[in-house]
This record gives sequence, C-alpha cells and structure tokens, in this order.
Amino acid sequence: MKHVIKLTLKEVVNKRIIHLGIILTLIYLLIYGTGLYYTVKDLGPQGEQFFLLQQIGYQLLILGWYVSTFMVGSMAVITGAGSISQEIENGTILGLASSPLKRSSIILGKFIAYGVVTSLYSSILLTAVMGLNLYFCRLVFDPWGAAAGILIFMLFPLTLLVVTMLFSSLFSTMTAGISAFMVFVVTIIGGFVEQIGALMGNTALINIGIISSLLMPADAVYRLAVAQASSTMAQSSIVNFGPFGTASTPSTLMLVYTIVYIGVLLSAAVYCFEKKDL
Amino acid sequence: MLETEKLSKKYEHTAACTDICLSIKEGQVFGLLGPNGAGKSTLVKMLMGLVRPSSGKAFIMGQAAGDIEVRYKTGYLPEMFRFYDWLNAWELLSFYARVYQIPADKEKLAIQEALELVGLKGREKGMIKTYSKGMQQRLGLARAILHQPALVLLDEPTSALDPLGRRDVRDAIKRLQQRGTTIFLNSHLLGEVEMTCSHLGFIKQGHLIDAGPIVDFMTKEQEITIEVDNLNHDLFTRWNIEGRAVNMNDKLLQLKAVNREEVPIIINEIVRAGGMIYRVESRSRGLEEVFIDLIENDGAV
Ligand SMILES: Nc1ncnc2c1ncn2[C@@H]1O[C@H](COP(=O)(O)OP(=O)(O)O)[C@@H](O)[C@H]1O
Ligand SMILES: [Mg+2]
Repeated sequence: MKHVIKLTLKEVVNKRIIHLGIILTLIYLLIYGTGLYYTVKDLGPQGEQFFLLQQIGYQLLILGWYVSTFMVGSMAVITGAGSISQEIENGTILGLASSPLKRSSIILGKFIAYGVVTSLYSSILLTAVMGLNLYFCRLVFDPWGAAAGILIFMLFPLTLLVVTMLFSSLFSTMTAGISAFMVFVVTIIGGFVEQIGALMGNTALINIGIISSLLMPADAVYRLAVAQASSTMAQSSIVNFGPFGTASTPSTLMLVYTIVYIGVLLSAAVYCFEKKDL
Repeated sequence: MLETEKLSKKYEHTAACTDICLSIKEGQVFGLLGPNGAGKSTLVKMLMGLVRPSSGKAFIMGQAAGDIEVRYKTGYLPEMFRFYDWLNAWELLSFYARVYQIPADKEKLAIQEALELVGLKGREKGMIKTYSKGMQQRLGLARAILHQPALVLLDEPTSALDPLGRRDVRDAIKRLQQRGTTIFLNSHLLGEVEMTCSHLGFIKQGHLIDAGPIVDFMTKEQEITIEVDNLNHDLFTRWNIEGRAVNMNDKLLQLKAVNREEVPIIINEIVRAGGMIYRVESRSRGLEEVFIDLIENDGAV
C-alpha cells in the first residue's frame, strides 16, 4: 500500500489541474484579503469600535470559510473523479492490478494519498482565511477552538473524496465527476434548507436537512467545524444566524456518523473495484 | 506450469471465451493465434486475475491463477501497454521493482538488465510521454520481465512495433526462453508466432480449436522458388508428370518438394543439366494453410 501512496502523491505533484488549483487558491486569498482591507478601511473611525469590528469580522470569516468549502470540495471531486476510472479508461490499471498489489490496497493507498492532500489543503486554506481576519479585523478567538474546527473540517474533503472514489470505481470519469458534484450541491442545498428551517422554526425543513446530512454528511461537518471554531468567539451567538452559520448545529454524534460513513463507503469502493473486470 | 479447465467468460452480449482447456509445460513458448476479437486478451486477463471467469478454473504453477503469490512469479504485458506519462522509464521500473519486492541492493541491476533485454538502455531517463508506441511496448516488456518471472504472458507484444522492433522482441523472447522462462504469447500474426513459438494454439470466437507442438501443424511439403537461367526443359516436363505443380515465370521457377531432403536433390539435378541458379528460397507452407483452414473456413481439425 505504501507504494501506491507514494506513487499517488507523486502524481498529485505532477498534475496540472492541481497546479491550477493552487494558483486559483492564491488568487482567492488575494481577493479575500483585499476585501477585508477595504471593509475595515470603509468603516472609518467606526472601525475603531471593537464590537462592530468583531461582528463584521466574524461574518466575513464565516463567509470566507464558506467559499473555501467550494474550493476544497472541488479539489476533492477533481482528484477523486479519475482516481480509478481514468486508470481503467487509459489502461494503466492493468499494470497495477496485475502486480502483487491487492486491489484493496490500490484503493486504500489512493484514498490515503488524496485524503492527506485534500485535508491538508483544506486546513491550510481555512487557516489562511482565519489569519487574514486576525490581521485585518483583529478578530478575537480561542485558538484551540479554531484548531478543533479546522481539524473537524478535514473530514469535509474526506466525505466528498470517498463518495467520488466510489463513483469512480463504478462509472466513467465524466459520470463520476458530475454525479459527485451533484451530490455536493445537493448537500449544500440541504444544509441551507436546514438553517432556514431553524430560523423559521420549521421542523419539516430541519428534517429535510438532517436527512440530506445522513446521505452525505459534508455540510454537517462544515456546520460542526464552524460551531466548534466560533464557540468562544465574542458575541458569536448574535451573528450565528444566517445561511452560512450554525443556527442549527448538528449533534456531535454526527462526527461519529461521518467517520463510520467514510469507512462504509470506502469498503463499498473496494468491493466494487474487486468485482470489476479490467 | 499453466493449466486451464473449461475456462469461460461471458460478457453481457458476447461469450468471449468458452470452455478453454489448455496445458502449457515449463519451458514452452506457447503462441495463441486467432483473429481480432477471438478472445485472446480475455483469456490472458483471466489468467492474470484481471477478469473473473464466468466458469471454469485456471492454475499457474499449481496455484489458482490471479493469486497474489502467483503474481510474484508471473510477468504480464497488456495489449496496449500504457503507464503514467509523468514518470520516466527508470522511475516506472523502480516503482515496480519495489512492488515486486526486489531487494534494494539488486534493484539497479534488475532494472539495467531488463532495459538491456528490450533494447531501451540509454533511454531510461526519457519521460514516458515522449516515448513512441514501440518504445512504450518495450518498456512494458521490461516491466513484465523485471522480476525474472518463471512465466511471462505477452498480449500482442509486437503489435505496435516496426519490423526492426519486432525482431528485437523476438530476440528478447529467445533470450528469455534460454533462461528457462515459460512464455505465453497472443498474436493475430502467423509469421510472428511461427518464428518464435514451440507450441501453438488456435482460437476462434472464444473456442480453442486446436493446440499442440508447432511441428505437428507443419506439413513437410516445401515450396521452392528458384531463380534460374538455362533450365533444361526435360526436367520441366518430368516434374510436371510427377505432379510438382511447376510454374515458370520469367526466370522464376516454382515447384513443390515432398520434403526438405528433396530440395538439394532437385537443385543438384538442375545444375547437372546445365542450369545456372542465382537464388533459392524454400519454405513450408503448411502452417499458413492450417491457419487459414482453421480460422477462415470454420475448420474443425
Ligand atoms: N469488457 C468487455 N465487455 C464486453 N465485451 C468484451 C469486453 N472485453 C472484450 N469483449 C468482447 O469479447 C470478445 C473477445 O475480445 P478480446 O479478448 O479482446 O479478443 P482478442 O484479444 O482476441 O482480439 C470480443 O467480441 C469483445 O468485443
Ligand atoms: Mg486482444
């Protein structure tokens, strides 16, 4: 398995689309930082008011994280979509699968390598967004809470990755990528519905959100991460209400569920790949 | 070395292989001949554990084909060998050296040997994406033999090669054979197989029509082509009476000999009768006839 992990890491380093992702990320951070700079500047003397700055800073942080989920999610889908199907399509899998490597270690090795890369990417991105807020808005936060949030958020790319890899072991690269992206969008909408339901006190909407989280817990992971990171943030309770916030915070049981979910889907991907004629 | 019992594979709409019973002994070079779509690749993939048989069994060195342990002792060249084009040949072979658990201190030597055998020495630092199809196929062959397997399965090893490349691969196969490696190769080219194999199998529409030592398929009858000047016409008439299907075209004489031993006798006769010989070619036409018979005319032998 370690051979597959190494090979996959090497592949990531060589993949052009990953290079493009890094450039896009830097551009995003630049735009985000510029936005923060002008927001604080436009507040003028009011910007000196600690309370207001904290409120705005916190909102912008959540917004920044929210946008980051799209980048992290896309990264997971893009790396996962071709992980197996592309090797089948261009015949490179015949070399790997005819060697003494077990099919399960091919899948697991790839998952570990892509998982490390995408979760590392997500934590770097979230940390950078937080750092920019810290610098421009002088956001006060509990570093342990934030670290815990970022750590929890690592599960976000992993849930998407495992779904995408399962699709990749079943379908063509194109189909796998598109369906994984659709699942991603549905879970985001589900998350929205749940938050709006919480604001309106509508249990039906909340339940729809919960069901979508059970099918695909990525959004729940995001909400949990935000809740964790902001638990000790100044006056956070006032501004937590919003589609990106955590008016309805998933229970921590959801974390356990997510880990089990990843395990089950990974086993399913192994099973599908083992049964496949190459 | 390799044994199959009623090995079959049915895809949704096609029966790619049906009840294949094969037995290949150690040291043989077995050529499986058949037209495109006959089921050759499917058979090899089943032997490598890449495709699950619908029914039947396959054993390699006494173990079920596809077992991890068997793979350490088996080398495989897929029909269209491709590998990650962001590696160079050395990196690729080094990766597989580790996968096949070649000890680190022997890795370099193993890679060099493999590169040399396939004629890629000196090109190993080139990125795979800059390789021609022929070079990729050689690299695939290098990968197949890197761990010095006892059995090598080659799926159309010369299909992407030019005549020179084909000769190199034939040489490589001969050297492997000298090492004692058992070789199974697929081809739709009779000439290739004729030159390299000790045993033959014919496959058509998923059925193994016939298999055995190559000499069993060769009739001894020779066809001789002689470029000759000043041929004695009495000879010509006599050959005609003997039913040698003589044909004289310009200075090219064509006729049949009952066996190889007759060839020098015929030449001797021409020379003694004052004929001047510039060139002689003699070949056994048997195999090609058998091939066409078996493959084209639904022939059952
Ligand atoms: N994955 C597959 N799915 C469906 N049919 C297949 C598949 N692979 C091969 N076949 C069919 O099986 C038959 C044998 O194919 P193959 O083994 O590739 O033949 P060959 O190697 O002799 O050219 C062909 O009719 C081919 O279309
Ligand atoms: Mg084939």
